[in-house]
Amino acid sequence: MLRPFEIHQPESVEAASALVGRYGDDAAFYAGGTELLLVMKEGLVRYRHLVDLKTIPALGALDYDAASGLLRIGGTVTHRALERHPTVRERFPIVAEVERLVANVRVRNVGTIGGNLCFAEPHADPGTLFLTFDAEVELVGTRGARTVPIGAFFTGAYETARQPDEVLTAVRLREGGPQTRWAYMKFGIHERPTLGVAVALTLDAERRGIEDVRIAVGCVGPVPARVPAAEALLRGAPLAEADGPLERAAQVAAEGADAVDDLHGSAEYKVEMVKVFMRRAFRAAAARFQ
Amino acid sequence: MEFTREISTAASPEQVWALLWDVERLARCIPGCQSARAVTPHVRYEATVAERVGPFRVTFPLDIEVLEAQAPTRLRAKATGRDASVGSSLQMQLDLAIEPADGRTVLRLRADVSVLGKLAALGGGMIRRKAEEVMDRFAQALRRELDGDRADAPTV
Amino acid sequence: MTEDRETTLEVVGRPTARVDGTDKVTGRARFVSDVAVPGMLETRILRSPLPHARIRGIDVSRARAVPGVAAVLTGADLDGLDPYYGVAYKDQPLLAIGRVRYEGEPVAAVAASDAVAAEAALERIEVDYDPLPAVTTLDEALAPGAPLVHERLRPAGHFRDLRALRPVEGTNICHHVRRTRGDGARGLQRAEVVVEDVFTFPAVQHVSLESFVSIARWDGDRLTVWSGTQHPFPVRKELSEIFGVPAHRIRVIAPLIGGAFGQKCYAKYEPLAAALARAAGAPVRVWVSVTDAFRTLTRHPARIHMRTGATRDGRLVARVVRAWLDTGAYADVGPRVAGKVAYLSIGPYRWEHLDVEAFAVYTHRVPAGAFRGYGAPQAEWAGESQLNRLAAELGIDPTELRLRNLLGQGEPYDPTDRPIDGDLPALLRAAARGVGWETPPRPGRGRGVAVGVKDGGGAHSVSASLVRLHADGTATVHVGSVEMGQGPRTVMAQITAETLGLPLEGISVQEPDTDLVPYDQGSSASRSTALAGTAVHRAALDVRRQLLEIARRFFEAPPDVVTLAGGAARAGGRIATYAELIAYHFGTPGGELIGRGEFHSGERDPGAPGPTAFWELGAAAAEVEVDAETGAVRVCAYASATDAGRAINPQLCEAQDQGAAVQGLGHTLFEEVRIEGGQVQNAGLIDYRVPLADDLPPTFTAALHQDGGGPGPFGAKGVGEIGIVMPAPAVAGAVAAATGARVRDLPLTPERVWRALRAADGA
Repeated sequence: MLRPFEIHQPESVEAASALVGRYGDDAAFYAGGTELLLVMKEGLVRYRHLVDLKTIPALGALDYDAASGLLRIGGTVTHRALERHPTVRERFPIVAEVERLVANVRVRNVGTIGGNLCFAEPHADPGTLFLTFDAEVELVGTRGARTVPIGAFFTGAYETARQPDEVLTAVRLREGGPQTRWAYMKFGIHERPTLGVAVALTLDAERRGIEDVRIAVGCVGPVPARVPAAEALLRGAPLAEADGPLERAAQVAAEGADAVDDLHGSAEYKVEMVKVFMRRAFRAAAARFQ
Repeated sequence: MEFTREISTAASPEQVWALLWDVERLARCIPGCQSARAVTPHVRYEATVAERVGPFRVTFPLDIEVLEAQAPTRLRAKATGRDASVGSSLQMQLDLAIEPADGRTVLRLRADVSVLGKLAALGGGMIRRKAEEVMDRFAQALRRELDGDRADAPTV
Repeated sequence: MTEDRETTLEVVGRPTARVDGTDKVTGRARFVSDVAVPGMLETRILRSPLPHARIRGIDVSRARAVPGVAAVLTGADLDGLDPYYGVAYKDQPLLAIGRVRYEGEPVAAVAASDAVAAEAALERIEVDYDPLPAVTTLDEALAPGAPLVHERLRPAGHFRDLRALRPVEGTNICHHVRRTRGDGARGLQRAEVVVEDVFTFPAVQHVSLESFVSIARWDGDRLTVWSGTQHPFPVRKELSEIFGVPAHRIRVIAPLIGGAFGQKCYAKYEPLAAALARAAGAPVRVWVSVTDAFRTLTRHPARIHMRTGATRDGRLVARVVRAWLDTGAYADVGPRVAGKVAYLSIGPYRWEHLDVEAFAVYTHRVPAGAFRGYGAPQAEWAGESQLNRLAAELGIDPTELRLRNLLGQGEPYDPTDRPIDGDLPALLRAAARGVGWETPPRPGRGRGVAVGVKDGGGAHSVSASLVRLHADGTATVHVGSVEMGQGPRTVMAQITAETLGLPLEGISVQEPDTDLVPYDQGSSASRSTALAGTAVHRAALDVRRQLLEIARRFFEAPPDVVTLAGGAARAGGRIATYAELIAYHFGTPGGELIGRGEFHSGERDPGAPGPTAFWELGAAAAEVEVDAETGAVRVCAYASATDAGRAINPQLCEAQDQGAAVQGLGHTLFEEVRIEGGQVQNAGLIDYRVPLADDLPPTFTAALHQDGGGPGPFGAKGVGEIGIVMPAPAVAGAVAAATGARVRDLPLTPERVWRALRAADGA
């Protein structure tokens, strides 16, 4: 049952932040509610005040700067908007592709990127993908604005570096160059995935050697994370002979996965699936050069 | 959920035993412990512990009952509490064994913890992960309380 | 109906849109959730957090003080009524009395002006529990010296087949059934090949779109209950016994229900609603959340140990089965489900030797009860899976192995029961053809088959109906069949329309209301079309007989020249509308013709073996692809074939069969209520996964066989359940065929299949 609460619809981020600052633990930001309302209905959290961010126009903006290749996604941009936005589809096709697979269309229609990242439910897709973009998160609170690299944003299951009064105003992604391809693979039978693996593969100009690779694993443990040791094994390897390094990298990624047993599977199984899907995601990214 | 921790300390078994009955010092070691008092010393205690995972906050007023006390080697207790607003309960059986070993003292902690009710909706894996963290913090705090900054022995 | 008439059916067997379809898709339909009684209070139920505990005391004083609270009830406040209910045993209290026996058991209930006040009161109830050792698995419950879930048992005596309850004294076994033929052990010794397996079936949930809703109102000493129940009359009986109020002062109304699947059989929340309404002095609504539905009833989880013996050339010789059904903290219909498992685990095959025993076992878990298929899915998951394995061991095609052993039409399933009344080999061949059995599958794919059988209609059942032909020539059908999506309102209208020669638009079907419709056992066991439909058919025939008699007098013509069609009687070129006939008969344009019809199982010929009313027969074949690295199973094709006897409404029959198949794919691939330490881990639709539209196999067909062999109107049978039986063994058989990995535990989650693949590789 949803207990009664007061909804505030401030006109600016500063006003929103001030409201949550004033009400403290009695208030939360509302940015779509696809996670928040579920736990409120269950009575797991209680807020007398919800501060609606969706009515703040600036947060709904989606800006692409062709010169810098920077995409700035406002905190209340919905999954559905990302999935369908022409610029996103053209310049960041992997983002549209992943967003199209988030939960179900009802969730995508109202759920926002900011809400998704800030709730930090462990079984989520966008955070994992954004790790391979080295995305940056913009936060604005009563004590000013700051930017946090996405790798430092997730601190635990349901926990982030965001202070209670801070609003996630935007997440910034930089476009990959002509030699970079992405792939994202998710797996599981439940509404929330058992596992997600994102790979960003950059080849050299001849497209023979692996110049750079960024790999992130999500859902298996409390937070999505890059696997630098696995990336290092692949970096510099010739693409044609990547199988050996890939196998070792998958092994390293699996060993490093902080997997937990839960309804989505045993830690043992998840670790094995990290191997499988890291291989598949890498190969899928490589195949996109053809 | 079962948890075990082993703490090796330079303190004597008697010193370890004494700490276990010192409400004020022990309360300092329990993560999230907001208050603690003896209702009937050596028999019943009350404590309030609070824990937070992101937006989820729970506060358990705990009723602690000593089941068995053999100075200075063994202590068994059980604790129960309910957070009515979150509709969840906590039940814990605690088994502590103190043994001398190679001139040091080993404190073996075994806890059997059940989190009941709506909190279970968050998923057992995540609750377990949090509980592991709490146990780690508890073990570290105990070691620090016993050995001060000399606490260099690893927790197993 | 005579044979020649069947060839000219006007309404029956033709594509007919459901009569409530437009209302449902436009939102006009009134479901039980839409019922609002003036002054109705909202309620909330406090549930036990522990699987087993003594209740030392409950303090409700702070809860009673919450503004808006009209009543707070606990097990201590049930004075003056018999607080226990249950079909097999009266073992389940409205609210826990002195002891809780499962996590989620109702302990206290609040009625208040609104849900917020009720919820606030709930938080202020203090329950002092003394935890007790709990048995939350079959092993724990069956261990020597295990704590007893119930120390004393009180049989309910509601139904004839449950009067023979056989608990095992001093254990948690509340019922056991043993059936033998020949000598099972000796039969296995003589068999040339014996396979032995232990199969398990998970607890699964019905997941109706609409959860439990019950509204109760007392008017003086009269009680009215609106409820989403499949069993208005049995609920009335239960309420009568609990409150000591005679039947004529209790009225149970069942509006449209958003799905039930057995979950809403017999009393569930109606007694609590009535008790709360009485305490509050106002009508109340008990509205149970989807989450709490998981704490109300599941299908029985089961463990089945099975041995099957055969000759090398594939003749079945013997089967020995021991099956344990976990019925949870309260028996509900558990004993009857155990009986069904014992009966159906042998399958429709010729056996020389059988020794089958099934046990219903109490545990400290959410009660298990009726669920579409009623023991058949568990029994035949084991039985059909073992045949698939046997076929592989013998090197015989699994379809062929079955064809060599299947009972033919007219052969006895059991010497004391109705013979098989359909063509099982034809069904099996049709299903196999549906996935292209005659050609080998693509590499990496595998195929499996399964046959399904269930004794339909329920033993010892009764239905009655009235059909009223009004003065204007339209009709109302009074029958207790509950519309929960399966379509009886449409089917009963069709039967009446066909019989009376009326257009479908000229017929209304009365909402089930114990004050307004004659007795009906209930809408379960696939019984409505065939058995309640027989009562309707007979009531309509009764009206028809009266019409013909009036027409004979009106036309002054012999009865055999009068025909009835299009709402009018005709004889020798003359025509009279039904309205004209009724006016003629009563001498005034008023009055109505009332037809009465009845069906009861006691009417069968004394010589005819009972008690099965008809056999639900089906077969299915599946083709799957397995991801060898992940264990993920994709069902590429699924074909089923079902014996409908005569499909009154072919679309509804197909929808029933496909709906059942999809629900079966749920427990085959995804569904399991996870209970650890007695705690439900996944109560809700995010973590409990049901099949979605995307999960439909790309090729998905349902073939109806119609040879008119059913006992119902025009030869109809019930078809509501059999489709849920075959998916698990067919899909698991296909997985084994594709990979060599045989999984004996459901559901076939990727992880489980992955483990089986690794075990098969290691072997």
